[in-house]
This record gives sequence, C-alpha cells and structure tokens, in this order.
Amino acid sequence: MNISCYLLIGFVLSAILAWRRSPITSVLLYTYWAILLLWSIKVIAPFTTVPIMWVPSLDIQFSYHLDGLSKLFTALISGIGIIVFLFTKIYSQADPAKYKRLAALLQLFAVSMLGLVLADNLIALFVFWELTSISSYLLIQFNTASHASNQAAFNSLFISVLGSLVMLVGFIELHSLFATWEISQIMSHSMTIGQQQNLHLCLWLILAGVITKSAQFPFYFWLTGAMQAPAPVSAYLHSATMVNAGIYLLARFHPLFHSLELWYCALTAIGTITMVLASLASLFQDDLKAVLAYSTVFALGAMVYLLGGSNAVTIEAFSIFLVFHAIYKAGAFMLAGVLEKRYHTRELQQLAGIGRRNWLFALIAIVTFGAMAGLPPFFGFTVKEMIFKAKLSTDTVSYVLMTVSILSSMLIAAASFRCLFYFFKRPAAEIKSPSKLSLGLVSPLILATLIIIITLISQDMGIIISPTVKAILPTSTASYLDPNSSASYLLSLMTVFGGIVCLLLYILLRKFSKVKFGHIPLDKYFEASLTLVLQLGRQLTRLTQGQTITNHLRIIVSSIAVLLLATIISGHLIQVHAVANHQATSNLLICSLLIMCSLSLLLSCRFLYNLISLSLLGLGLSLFFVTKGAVDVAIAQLLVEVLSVIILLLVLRRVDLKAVKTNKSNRIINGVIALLFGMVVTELMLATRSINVDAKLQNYYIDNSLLLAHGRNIVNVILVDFRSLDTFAEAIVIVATAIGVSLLLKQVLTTRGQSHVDNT
Amino acid sequence: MTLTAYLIIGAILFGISLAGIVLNRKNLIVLLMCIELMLLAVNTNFVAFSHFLGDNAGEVFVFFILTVAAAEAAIGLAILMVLYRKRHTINVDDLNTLKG
Amino acid sequence: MNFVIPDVVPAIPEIFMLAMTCIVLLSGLFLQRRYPSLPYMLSLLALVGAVVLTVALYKHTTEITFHNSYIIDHIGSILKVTILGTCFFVFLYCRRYVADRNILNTEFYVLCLFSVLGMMVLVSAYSFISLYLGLEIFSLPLYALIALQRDAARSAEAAMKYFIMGAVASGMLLYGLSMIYGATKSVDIAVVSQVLTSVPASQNLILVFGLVFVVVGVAFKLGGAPFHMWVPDVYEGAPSAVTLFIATAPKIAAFAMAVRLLVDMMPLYQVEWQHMLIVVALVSMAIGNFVAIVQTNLKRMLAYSSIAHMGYMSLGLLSGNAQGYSAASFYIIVYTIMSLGAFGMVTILSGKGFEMETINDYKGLNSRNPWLAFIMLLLMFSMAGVPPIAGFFAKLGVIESLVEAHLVWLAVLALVFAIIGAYYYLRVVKVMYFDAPEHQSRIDTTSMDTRIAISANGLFILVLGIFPGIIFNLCKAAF
Repeated sequence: MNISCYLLIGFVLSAILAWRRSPITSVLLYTYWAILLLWSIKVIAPFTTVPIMWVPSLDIQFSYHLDGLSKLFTALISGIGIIVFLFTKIYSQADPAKYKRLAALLQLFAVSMLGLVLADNLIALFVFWELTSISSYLLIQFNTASHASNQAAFNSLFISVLGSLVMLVGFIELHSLFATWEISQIMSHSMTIGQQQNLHLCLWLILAGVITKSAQFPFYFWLTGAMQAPAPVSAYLHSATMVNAGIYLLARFHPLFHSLELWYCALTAIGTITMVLASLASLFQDDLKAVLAYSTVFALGAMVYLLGGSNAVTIEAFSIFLVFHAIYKAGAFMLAGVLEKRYHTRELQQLAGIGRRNWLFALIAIVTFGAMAGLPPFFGFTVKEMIFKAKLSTDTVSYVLMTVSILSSMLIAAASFRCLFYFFKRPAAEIKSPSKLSLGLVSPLILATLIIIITLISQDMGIIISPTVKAILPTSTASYLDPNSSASYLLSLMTVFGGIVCLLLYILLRKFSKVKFGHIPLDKYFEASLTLVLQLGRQLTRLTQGQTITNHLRIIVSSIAVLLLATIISGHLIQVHAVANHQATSNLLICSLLIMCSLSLLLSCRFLYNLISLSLLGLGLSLFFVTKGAVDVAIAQLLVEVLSVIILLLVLRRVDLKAVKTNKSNRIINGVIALLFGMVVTELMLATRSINVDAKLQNYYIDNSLLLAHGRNIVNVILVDFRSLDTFAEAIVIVATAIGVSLLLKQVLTTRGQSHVDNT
Repeated sequence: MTLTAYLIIGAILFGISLAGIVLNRKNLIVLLMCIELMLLAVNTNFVAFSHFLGDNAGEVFVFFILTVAAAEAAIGLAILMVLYRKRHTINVDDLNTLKG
Repeated sequence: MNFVIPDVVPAIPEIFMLAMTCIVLLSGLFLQRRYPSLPYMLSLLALVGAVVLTVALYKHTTEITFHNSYIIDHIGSILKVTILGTCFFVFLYCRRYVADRNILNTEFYVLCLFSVLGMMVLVSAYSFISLYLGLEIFSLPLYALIALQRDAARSAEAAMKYFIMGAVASGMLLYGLSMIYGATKSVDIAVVSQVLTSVPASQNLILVFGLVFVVVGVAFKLGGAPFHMWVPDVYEGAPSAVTLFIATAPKIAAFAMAVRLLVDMMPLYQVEWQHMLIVVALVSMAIGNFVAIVQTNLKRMLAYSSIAHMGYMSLGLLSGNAQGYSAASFYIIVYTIMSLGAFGMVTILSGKGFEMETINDYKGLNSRNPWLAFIMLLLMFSMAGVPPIAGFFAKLGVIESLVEAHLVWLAVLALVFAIIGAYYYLRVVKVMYFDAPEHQSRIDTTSMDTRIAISANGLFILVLGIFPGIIFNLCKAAF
C-alpha cells in the first residue's frame, strides 16, 4: 500500500471518529497505529513509498524520506499514540460527545505529525507542519468556555504560524539554491562557495520556525500556556510529539548545516539559555502541570544544545534522550491528568500525601519522576551520564557551559524531588475523595513498565538508536558506547545529590521569601506587543480613514510627486551641476529674494502682506529676466504685475477681509505640495528638451483616405474606417453612459415626486 | 512655437488642474471642471506630439478622448444631481459620512 | 495597396457579448411585463455563451488584429473566462438582493454586462486607444450602478467618490500615455515595446515620467495604497450586490491593464517600475493589514483586505520574471474567487430590509446555518493563506518568485504582514463559531440556486488548494 493512501486513511479515520463512537472505530484506530508501530520497528513492511505528484507545475509532490530518524519518530508517534488513545478513552468516559471530538482531533494531529516526519518534500512538510499547529490550536482551546484557554490557544497558534511562515521563506531560499524541494536531494548536493554564503540566511530563517515550534527562548511561554489543554493533549502534543517537530527538523538538516560555525553557536546559545531559565522556573512552580511544562522546555533546550554538536557521542545522547524523555514525560502528564480528574486540583500543596493512599500510584510516580530526575537505578541516570559524556567529548569543552548545564540539571532534579516530596508528605488535612483504584492509571503504568524494561535492557539500546544516529551523522562509524566513564558517572551522581541540596536550599529560601525565580512574564510582553500592533492599526486608521476627499487627493498628489522625484534622483536623470553652472552671484541674490517672497506669501495670514509679497515676487522675476538679457519679457512682466495689483486692490474694496479665514498648518501642507509639484513640473519642462523632433506631419490619412476608403471627409474616414473598432467601442461608451445617466436622472425625478407626496 | 512650448502649456494645465483638485474644498462642480481640465492637458500633449512627431495616431486619440470626456462629465453631473437631491449640498468636504 | 478587412475572429466573444447585451436591453423594454425573469436568464445565457466562445478560441495562436490594436493570447483568454465566470456568479448571488431592493432589474444586468464587455475589451486591447476605451466602458457603468439604489444617501456619496477618483486615475493614466507616445511616436503597444528596446531608460526622462503616471493609474484601478482611499468607502457605501461586482471582476481587468502596460510594453524598464511597485506593495500590505484589524464592518474589512491582497499580487509582478507574472495571475484569479465568495456571502445573507454588514451580524452563524458558516470558514482560511487551501498556493507562488528575484527581505516582510492579516480573518471565524448569536432564527434568506452557487464557490477554493495545478499550469503556460 502506498503510504500516501495510508495517511489519507488516517484523515478519513479522524472524520469517522468525530462522526460516531463504536467499538469498530476503536479497533480501526488501534490497528491503524499498531501497523505503523510494527512497521517502524521493522517487523512488517506493508508500505511502498512511490511519490505522488501534487502540483506538478511547482514540483510539489508527496514523497517520503525513510531513514532511522523518521522511523524513530514514527515509532514515538504511533507507540505513545496508542497509549494516549487508550488514556483518552478512560479520561473522558463520562462525556461521550467530548470524547468523540477529542479523539478525532488527536487523530487529526497524529496523522499530520506522521506526515511531517515522513515527508521528503519541503512544501508537503510545511503543510503538515501547519496542520499540526492548527490541530494543536483546536486542542488547546478544547474547553472553549474558558477565556484562559482561548488566549493560550491563540498565543500558541500565532507564535507557531509566525515562525513557520518565516521558515517557509527559508525553504524557498533552499529551493532557489538547490533547485529542488526534496530534502534527500538537497542533502546529496555538493555546494559551491556562494551557496555556502546563502546557507547562513537559510539557517536563520529555518531556526525561526524551530525555536517557535519547539518552545525555545524567548517563545517558550506558549507551551506553558498550552497546559490549559486536557491531559491527553499535554501528554501527547506538548511533551512527546509536536514540540519535537522543531527538534526533528534540526536533526533532519543536521548534515546540511553542521559544518557552519553559526550552527554550533546559535544552537548552543539558544539551548543553554532555554535550559537555565526553564529549570529555574520549574522549581518555583506550584502547579504540577506547570512544573512538568517547564521541565519539558528544559528537555527541549537540552536537545537543541546536543544537536549543536556533531560527533557520534553527542548525537547518540540526543537520540536516547529524545526517546526516553517522550516516555517518562508522557507518563508524568498522564499522572497529573489522573490527579486533576480525581481531586480537581493541580496544586502541589493540595495533593500532599497522595502517594501514601495508593501503592500503584506511588510506584508509577517514583518511576516516572525518578526517571525525570535521573535517579541511579533507572535509565534516566544513564541518559544523564551519556549527556555529560557527550558534553565532555566535544573538541572544545567550555567549562562555563558545562557548569551551567550541570546546574540546570540539578534544578530539574530538585523540581522532580519536590513533586515526589509532596506526594509522600503527611497530608495536613484528610482529603475527601474516593479511594478507588483509578482505571486511568493503566496508561501511565504501561509507560512506567516501559521505563523499567528500558532500564533492564539498557545495554541493547544501541541497536534501537543506531539507525537514527546513522541518519543524522552519515559518516559516523562509532557504535553505541558504554557510558561508564568515570568523569560522566561522577557528574551524574553529583547531579542527583546536587538536586537534593537544591531542594533543601529551595525550602530554606521559601521560608523567608515568596520570590519566584526564573519566571519571565514573556506572555505579558507578547500580549503587550500585540496590543501595540492594534494600537498602531487604530492610529493608522485614524490617519487614513474618514478623511475628506480633498485630503485623499492631497495624499495622492504628494505621493505622485514623491514617486516622480524618487525616480529622478535614483536614476540620476538630470545633471544638477549643469544647471547650477550658469548661476552667477547676481542670480543667487535674485533667487534668494524670490524664495523669501514665496515663503512670506506662504506663511503670512494677512491678505495685504500676501499682496505685497506677490508683487515683490513679480518684481524679482522681471529683474531675473533683465539679467538674462530678455528686456522685453521683463517689461511685459512688470506691466502684468502692476495691472494685477491694481485689479486686486480694486476688488479688495468690495471684499470683507475678515471673512477670509486661513489655517496655518493647512497652508504649510499646501506649500509642501506646491513645492513638490513645482519641482516636478520644472523637471518635466527640462525633460521635454530631450525629445528630438525629426519629421513633419505625415499625411498618411490625407493621402490614403480617398484611395483606400473612398471617402472625402477625412475625419469621417478616420473614425469609420481606419479606427472602426475604436469608434465602435466609443459608441458603446456613449450608449452605456446614456443608460446610466437616464437611470440616475429618472431616480432623481422620482424621488422628487416622492418628496412632494411626503410633503402633502 | 516649439514642441517644448506646447508641452509646457500641457504641464501647466495639468498642474493647474491638480492644484484645483487639491485646493478646492467647497464645490464639487469645480472638481469636475478640474478633471476636465486634466483631460484637456492630455489633449494638448497629444496634439503637440502628433504635430511635431509627424504621426496621426495622437490626433485620432484626441477625438476619442474628447467624446469620452463628455460622457464622463455627463455621468459625473448625473451623480451630482442624485447627491444633491439626497444631501442638499455640493460641498466637497461634506462627503464624509462613510468612515467605517 | 488594398484596404484589408481585419480578422474579426479574435473579437467574436466581444461581438457576441455586445449583441446579447442589446438583446437583454430590448427584452427588458418589451417583454419584461410578460416574462419578469427573462432579462436575468438572457444575461446568464450571454455570459455562458461568451465563456464558450472564449474557450473555443483558446487554441487560437497569438494574433494581433484590427490595425495593431487588438490581441488574442492565452493570458487574455484566461482572464476573460475568469471575468465572465465571476460575473455569472455575481448574477446568481444578487438576483434576490436586486429584486428585494427595487433596484431596476433589467438595467442592473445591462450595466453589468456593458461593464463586463469593457473589461473584455481592456483585456484584449493592444493600443492605447482601445485600452482607454475599454477602461472607460468598464468604469462608466460602474459609477452609475453604485448610485442606483434609491433610498441610501451613502450610495450617492460612494458613487461620487468613486467617480472622482476613477476620473482622476484615468486622467493620470492618459497623461502618462501621452508622454510615452511622445517618446516613442506610436500608440500601439507592440510598436512601443519595439521602439523601447533601442531607448535606454537613463536617457529618457520623459519616458520615465510617463511610466510613473502609468504605474499610478494602474495602482489606482487595482486599489493599491497610497491610491486606495476610494476602496473602503465605495465598498461600504455601495449596495452589497454592486460591491460584490466591483470587488471582483474589475480587479482582473486592472491586472490585465498592468500586464499589457508594464509587462508587455515596458519589459526593459522593469528596474524602474519594480521600484515603484515595491513602494506600492509595501504600503498596501501595511495599510491594508493594519487598518483591517480594527474594522467592525465586514465589507470595510474586506475592502482593506483587498488592498493588502493587491499588495501581495504586485509582489509577483514586480519580481520581474516569468514565474512571478504567472504567480501574480494565479494570485489575482484566486483572490477574485475568494472575494467573490466572501462578498457573495454578504449579499445572499442580507435579506429584505436588513444587511449583514457588520462583523457582529455574523455572531454564531455556525448555529444558525452550519453549512454557510463552513463555506465562510473556508473562504477566510484561504484569504489568510492557511494550507492547503488555494490562498496558500497563491502566496507561495508569489513569495517563491520574490526569492528567485533575490528580494528575500521583501518576502519575509510580506509574510509578517500576512500574520497580521491572519488575525482579522480568524476573528471572523471565531465570531462565527464561538460567539453566541444575537438572533436565534435560522437563516433562510438563501434560495436553492444561491446555496448551490456559494457551495460550489467555496468548495472550488478547497479543490483548487488540493489541486492548484488546474489553473497554475494555465498561468504558467501563458507567460
């Protein structure tokens, strides 16, 4: 079966889920994902990957890139997907309508995510990317009545779409560099120096998509806001899969970009800042889901950090961390969901003592949160160890970076210890709740079991992740390395103890102050900047809308003048110095007189002063003519001036000068427009000189009208014969106008009739 | 007279019509007249070019512009009539009820 | 030398349109008493016939006839079919609106048909004279159409504004054309472009000046900023049926004018007009998107969105390569279909005595009529450029051609503006789906044929998103 068809079936299945709930649909759903899971771990191979053309004219097709990386992601999506669907069913047992919607949306998301990790064509990838953003939006605001969830959903959509569109430009730039949309072909392309230069630009643009989608600094606030979503959504989208989309893209493009200096610098910087801020914030949260959200952000930062490196150990650490994080974080979120469902709260203080009441819960909590903290018996410890080993193995070990990342790991450990601490604390007051074993614990239990299994077979993890490492680093030859080197072992142990120390410090600190560290109100900044945009919109509206038509025309005329001037200046069309050469000093004097006169004409509001400046202007002009040797013109100018002043004065006797109101700002605007337009007309006159007149009027029509058209009236011949089509069109103009005018006048006449009727 | 002189006349007519459009805020009829003036400037240009370049097409074009300008003016005045019926004003600045 | 009778075959669709328009006029005069819907039916027939004829002529090779003043080519045929098809849907949507509001029935259709005829002439015009005449044939009936509603003073004001702006625009355009004529000694676009190959831009100020005025005229007709002021006022003030017409087909005609005057006539002056169009595009996208955010009237919001869309479209034109031109034509076609649907929705939802104009009127549309709400959702998503709906591919093509022309900064800016644009489209969706309706009644103003038409319109956008090749290939082949 072609994999495109399989994706299509997935979308259809989503529609079916929304339509009705029955055992058959559930069976279909689990079969669907089970087949994928088995395929991704190479048990069965039912799929063909023949590309399907989508838009041939743009070379857009559904083609697939199947290597270790996409298989690993497919395994995550389908494996955790099955568990999440199971959990969803139990989670929303009480409300079947809600379940239908939730399951349908989750399925829509899961298939889009699947398309994202499988697609080889950049545009197809982008489309799936946007689909995941949209389904995430719909899932976050699942509870439409809540204002907070609406806001959070909007923020997440806005941020991820903004990033993705910038990323799209990066994709297009890649396309213009390599002339293909296929990732596999881009990777196998050899590069020239010029392309290397342009790659930087591509990287910047693509990074914008990555840091928004994968919740890196400064955009991680959308992920913490997204905790408004129901628990299955948080467990699936916001810890295990969707937020990893950006990470996936980084890993996918690793071979292309890793040789750039920028790649290492940018990824290390972004990753480190995100890690530090998120781990600090995570310790200071009281909401269980917020703690988990920040620790997810921390993990994503760590993954970005690791991807900055390019040796086999780092990439191995990255792949293992990716898988392991998805498992324990999904489990932790499900636990939080079960607690919220049962006790209607997510506050840690109110959940105190939960672990003492239910041994199963206690077990799962210890496993998942222990894995998160990196406690020694679990695989989490090994993962931490590998990460430290990877950091130590880079060619230039930066001790500052090392210290910072160890510190943030300690903080995360402290945060998970804190959760465990509350779970097993003696409760202050007895909690009233049904103590029945919750069915919802089944899914987290599966995940916890998975963690234990992984811990037991940790030596064989290499087989599972080696294809992924191979996909990211094609040149790597090193196989899975035993992490037991003394330095990293020590560091991991240090982290665990450091975590305990941090927790003690935190408790001490909490005794004295209520300060929350590490919490930056990024969402407030974001909302403020949105308000700013709205404000800008309002201002622009006030400026451009509701103006009088005169002001519209003013804007239009001045923009034309600006356009004209701009073309002149940009094209160097007129040699200014050639004109300036002629200016002698006497001319300068006269010119300054003229300018002063026109300025006073513009600025003065008194009519009499205006008259005086006007006549002075005329006088100056005639002087100018005299210096140019055109005495006759000068005399004519003088006469005209005198005459016009006399006429104006005669008129003035009859005009009430007080009634002539003038507005200064208006005058200045008019003045600027006049100046612009005067300059343009001057340029125009200079320009007309460039036309060379070569021929006399050709008497084509006169010569040919009798000969060809047998007509003596040339005008008639031109209209009816030579330009018959145009004349025809003109006749149409007249007819259409006549109809229009007659209708309008009819309307005027009838309304007049009506108003007469109204009056009587 | 040279071509330049005619073109300058054209440019000045065009400038005057634009100035009229921009400065006039009292009377819609003046606005319509300014638009006609603009077409007149265009016609001057066409005739001048046509004459001095020795090509008839420009003159023919002028025929058409003249007629169409008349049609345009007719429509404009008809709309003005309707507007006056409804508003009892032809003040340019009174055209301001549409502002969202 | 003999007087050669020009080849009239390329102009057959126009001739047919003219004949049919006259028949519609006559039928309205003499037969309307007996058969009230005859003019309407005949108008639809005229459009269908013209579409058939144009399609039949599509295979015709590019030919210039009527003494160098008329051209038939692929892009012209594509645009003509779009104009005719758009007008067909416009008639379907506004039949009831026109009947409800006592707008003179026959005359409404006749004026629209005349205007369509003018657009067809404009699309095919290949000399300044035919171009100008086409422009006026299509504009003059529109001025009259806006003022046709009896009882609204707003429509008279809108008509006056449209008239003044339109007349100034054609004045500007003519002034520019006169300068180009002076510099090249010809009014035929083919000849002018030939002459221009030997005249470099840097030596010919008058030509560049002419170009500025031409660009201004084109921007005016397209409704691009800063020459956009008439757009919101006219869209809001005109009766919805007329707005529907003005907001759709004339955009295509104006685009055709841009193609003829800039792409066909002055390809060598691309550097000069590229700069001007960058200014127009940037200002349009900024003003269109920012001002649309705060609008409360849907027609006005869509007006500003059209300004923004014209900005995006001109991005394709200004990139100056064949890819960009085809992307721009794809964009304008897709935009026309989207805006046809959106304004069509406004028109068909408006019943007797009330208008669905403000965004608040759309509150809870989903609970009042889920299917229409879904169609509106598709249209809004498409306008916002959400993949995989047609609007996305339109934007993609344009952005791709920009990157091809090494204008990456412009591409990024355009997409940032697109995000702001997405905000107000999604607001409409939010209002329809998540707000409580002000009236509980089900909407029943639509009749069967309009429902089918609007569904076809909306679904076509979706189909075009899934298979954009249908039209994209045609556009690509045209340049």
